[in-house]
Amino acid sequence: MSVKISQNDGIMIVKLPDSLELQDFKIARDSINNARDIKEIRLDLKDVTYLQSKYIAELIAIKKVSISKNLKLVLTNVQEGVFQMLEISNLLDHFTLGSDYSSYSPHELMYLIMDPEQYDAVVDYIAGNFNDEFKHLVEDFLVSEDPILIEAALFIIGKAHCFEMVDKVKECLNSPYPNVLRAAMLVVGWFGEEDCKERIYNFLKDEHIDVAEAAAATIALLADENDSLIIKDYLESNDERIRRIAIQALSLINDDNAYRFLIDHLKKEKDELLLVQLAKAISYFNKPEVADILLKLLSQGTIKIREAAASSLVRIKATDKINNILALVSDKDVWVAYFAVKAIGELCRTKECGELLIKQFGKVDTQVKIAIIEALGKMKADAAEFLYQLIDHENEDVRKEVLNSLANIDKDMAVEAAINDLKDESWVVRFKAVEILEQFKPENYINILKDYVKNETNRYVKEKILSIVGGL
Amino acid sequence: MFEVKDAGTAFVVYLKGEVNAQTGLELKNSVLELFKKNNNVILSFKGVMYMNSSGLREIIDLLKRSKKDNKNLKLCDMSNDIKEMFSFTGLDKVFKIYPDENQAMKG
Repeated sequence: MSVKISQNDGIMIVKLPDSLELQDFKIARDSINNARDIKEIRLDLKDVTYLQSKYIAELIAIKKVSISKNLKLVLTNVQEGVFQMLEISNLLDHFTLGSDYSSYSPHELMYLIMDPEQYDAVVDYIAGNFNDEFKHLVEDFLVSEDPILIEAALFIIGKAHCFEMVDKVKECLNSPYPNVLRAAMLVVGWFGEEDCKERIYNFLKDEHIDVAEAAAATIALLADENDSLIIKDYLESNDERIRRIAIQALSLINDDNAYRFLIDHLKKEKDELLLVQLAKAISYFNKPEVADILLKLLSQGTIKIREAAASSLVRIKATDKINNILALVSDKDVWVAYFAVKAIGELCRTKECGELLIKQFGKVDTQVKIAIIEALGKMKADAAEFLYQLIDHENEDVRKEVLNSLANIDKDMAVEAAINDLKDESWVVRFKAVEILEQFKPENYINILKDYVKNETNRYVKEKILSIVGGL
Repeated sequence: MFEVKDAGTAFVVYLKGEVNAQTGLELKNSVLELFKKNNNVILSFKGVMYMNSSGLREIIDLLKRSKKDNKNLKLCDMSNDIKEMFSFTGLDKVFKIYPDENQAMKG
């Protein structure tokens, strides 16, 4: 065996043999040197199980040649023994490693599929290069007794869109293996095989939640006007995992029935995480009353539910509800006010909104104050002078957020505040101040930082400054 | 509904608002036309607020037809909620999905 060289589409593949000799590296080097019209070299080490230390210098020589010719060098299919040698020699950082499955025979690829770390990549490779040879391989997988191979075969068929094998996929709906059932159902969904739906309904209550989830997802994907009615019953399950799946499926079906069932269920559901999911699911229906439902959730329930309601209001861009949300900024409940301010920061861009937030500032809890400062920055409100007054506020989080927001609103004022805050007692604020100076690079900022770093005691701030002034 | 940008090596289609049976079908037909002029089309989901299974089915059909004609369809800029829809149905493993337009152009 000797070095094999091939070239295609600007990539030269140099495959080294298993019994390496110095001559092989010379051939490789010469080939790279003489190459024309290439941008990348792939040095294929698939057959090299071990690399003697004397060959390390040869590998470095190849690297040098590729650098001199401005070519990207990738070591592909590096075996464990070679990897260890590169590691011991501290060379791992100097080489790019990758995979090139085109070097492997179908039989070898079968073994790679059994490696969980390579499974997805190999399945993608076979699906992306699907041909008669791989079709035979997939057929072999399907008649094997190994559930991993059968599952891989199904995903390959699905990803390769090999519709002529759809009957084989449907046969797998009788498999005793949960992972195979799951894969078969998903692929049937991707292929739009509506005639399988009745069979898939049987799996909605499967003891394996992955199987039940795939069943719900596939039914939702193949849904017609009747499916919401059937899925609805699963909202009543005692198992919250089944209820979660039913919510996801109804959200995806997204018809009028699905909406009605989810709204009804919102009144009954007690599980906090499912209520969060319901808030998100309902926001996926294009209905005028959804914003009002979310507003109600924003002023009720737990922190997580309010957070979900606020982010859903932002997602549906509920700008017509800004006045209602603004009214919640003065709510007695800190969390209602907090999430209302968060939503305002994302949704509102008017002068009046900024003024109202500033007006509320003195009356609210510290946490809400921080949210207001952040919101003013996001809104780019006319609030630079108001914020500047807060640079000496007693709370360090307030001072830090002021710098953040000033940076969004007024560069000069942000720089002035940052220079002032280099003397702040809190290292968190000083760190932010250094970041602002790095961002805006005002005149003489390097010298300012060099002077200042002499007395800095905090390790993180010091390292940050040294990384800017080049002292590391 | 959607806007199209000719980015040279690919068309970028910016989806907007709702992807349902009707808008999905229109999107599919438009992208199939774009494929006659360029082998690469990127669908940006940044502006998508609502999507249902009927819309998703049209996008699957678009992928099916693009594969058949050796065309390259990529998706990008998905919110977490849209990503969840794709992963729920296993379609995150079928489509080429990129975090943003730049990476989709390079990928």
